[in-house]
Amino acid sequence: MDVKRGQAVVIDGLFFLMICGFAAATLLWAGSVYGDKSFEAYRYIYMTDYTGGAMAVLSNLDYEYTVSIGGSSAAVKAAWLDELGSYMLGEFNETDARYKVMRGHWDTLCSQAPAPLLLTVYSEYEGTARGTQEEPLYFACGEGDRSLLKALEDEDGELNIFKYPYYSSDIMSKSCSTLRCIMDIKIYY
Amino acid sequence: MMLMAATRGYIGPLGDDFPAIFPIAMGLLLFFSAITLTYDYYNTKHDAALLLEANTALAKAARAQLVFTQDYWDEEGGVCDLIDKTKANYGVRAKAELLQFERLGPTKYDFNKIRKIDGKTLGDNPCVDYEDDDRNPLPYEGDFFISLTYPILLKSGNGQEIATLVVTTWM
Repeated sequence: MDVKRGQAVVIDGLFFLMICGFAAATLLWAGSVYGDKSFEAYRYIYMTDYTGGAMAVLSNLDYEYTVSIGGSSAAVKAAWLDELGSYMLGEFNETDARYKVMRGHWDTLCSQAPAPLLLTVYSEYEGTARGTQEEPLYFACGEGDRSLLKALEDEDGELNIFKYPYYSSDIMSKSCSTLRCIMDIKIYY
Repeated sequence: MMLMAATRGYIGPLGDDFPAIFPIAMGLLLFFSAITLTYDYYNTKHDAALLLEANTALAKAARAQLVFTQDYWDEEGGVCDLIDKTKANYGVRAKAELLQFERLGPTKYDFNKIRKIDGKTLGDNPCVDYEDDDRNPLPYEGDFFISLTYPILLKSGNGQEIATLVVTTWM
């Protein structure tokens, strides 16, 4: 085919436009990937820092709760982790005031978190009432209406804690009452 | 006749190149727009990353003390000093607050009521308690800011309470 000079110049121009378009697309892609990565790196730091901080708060939380004995009330000192261990050993259940106070602290932590939290606790010892090596004990945000646990269920009703993306604290082994508890906190974003 | 055949369709040096100017101009416009867009996008992300870095660094330094006390909040070299250092190290402004939701019972909270325990911020300099400050120490409308929460323990009576440290950093 005979290409005239004018046509050739237009073809060159279109070729130039194509190259510019390709360069622009590459630039936009590289810029967004690089920008996103640096932001994501700090978001990861924040989220893991949050879960680690939440674990540190629970691990060091000392508080007082009141019990009624013979018409008078007395203050009892407690550590959250020890109360958790006692609950796992079956010393009290969900209807007990001790549970409500312990649970209340977890709910406080949940209520102030930027996204739902899930505490997973395993006991190193078998034979405990709750939270064995095989079956962990879960403390989720909004457990009253089971919102988080419900959201994490698969279609067959099985709990799948990996269903949604999350950041997690390190897995820690803590002394809780007479038990050793293996636990971590996940934050679903 | 031969000359006419050679110059058929030729409309002058400018006229011949004129149609190519549009795709070239479009290409250049596209390319430079992409550079500007990428630069703006990267800058926004970079600023966000810097604010995030300053925010987490300030919170980490503040939470080096495991249990917050009123003294730590108030004393020289406490939170106020950390805010000052954040500005010096990162060139961003910062504000720290201690918050709690109002507790209605062991497991009930009023999420509409936030009890502000205390708040410190850096105005221009020095660190002031912004509750008593007439100036607006918060990010102004249109300021680029990041506000993050961190769980902390607060000394309360004979025990401790869970509270939230809210750190805001802005440009």
